[in-house]
Amino acid sequence: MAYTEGWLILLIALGSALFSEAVNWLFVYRTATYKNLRSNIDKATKKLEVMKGQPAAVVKAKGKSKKMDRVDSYLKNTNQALSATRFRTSIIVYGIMFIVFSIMNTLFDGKMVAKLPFTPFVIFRALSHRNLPGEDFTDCSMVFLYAIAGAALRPNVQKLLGFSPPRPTGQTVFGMPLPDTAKDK
Amino acid sequence: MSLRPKAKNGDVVPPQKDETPQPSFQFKHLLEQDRLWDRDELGDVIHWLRQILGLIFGVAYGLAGVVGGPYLMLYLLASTGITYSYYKYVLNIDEDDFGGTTNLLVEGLVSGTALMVVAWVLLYSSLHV
Repeated sequence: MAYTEGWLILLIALGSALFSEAVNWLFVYRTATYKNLRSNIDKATKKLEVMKGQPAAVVKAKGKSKKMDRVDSYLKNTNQALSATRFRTSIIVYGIMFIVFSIMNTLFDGKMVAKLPFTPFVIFRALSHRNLPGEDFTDCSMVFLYAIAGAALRPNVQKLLGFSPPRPTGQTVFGMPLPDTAKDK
Repeated sequence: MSLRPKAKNGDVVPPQKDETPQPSFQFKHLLEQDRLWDRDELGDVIHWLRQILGLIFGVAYGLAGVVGGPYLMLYLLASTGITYSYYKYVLNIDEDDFGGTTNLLVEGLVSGTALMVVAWVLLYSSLHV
């Protein structure tokens, strides 16, 4: 079987994803602080969504709009606190990842680890053809395959282990605010 | 977000006196219309659907040994179309209740596409080069 290095890189990417989640579990996820923050976020999110699902007239009549703002503000602060708990371990994880990447670079630099079945867009060629000889842009370097494998595996490993971060509420995935969902009925 | 189901004419069905709380997710809910979906539950279902489609397309492309950028576009169109059709017509979801079409269709898109590319590249390299 040709290009066995590609499968090895996939395994390393999987190992990296599992390792980073293991470190996060050890130093973050199992702590009481994180569990409390996560529980508070879940409760506040559900409360906010129930409030937003009510008719606009009810929200106005019962003076709930101020309460909604308070819950929303509390949710934002709690999310920030949650992110802060992960910051220190992120430094450890990125440090280890950098060492792993350096070792892989030493082993696979200048080597073609896979053959791409398509020619990448120009903006990706610097990554996909990094340090490879020749002008055949379907030759794949370690960096590109490792990056793609990481993008594929890391979110799924997080989800499978139940460690995925909470979804943003009140905004789209692009950070734009959602339209007011209070129903006027 | 758990929302009240809607009748065919679009009116929200009011809560009934004897209505029991929505049970936690089970696989049979994947084919259930008008269920009260939690935002996280629905997002997870769409995410995993994207991953499964990515894996199927990637393995199929890799085994068949197809080449060319159009296959990537074909995957994106098919994956998006299948995902949209599933939540719109099988689950009868009103996307406005969950932040709009874009918010739902983006779930799992990047990781699903990356999974497809990885499977395609590795199988193609191993079997057809």
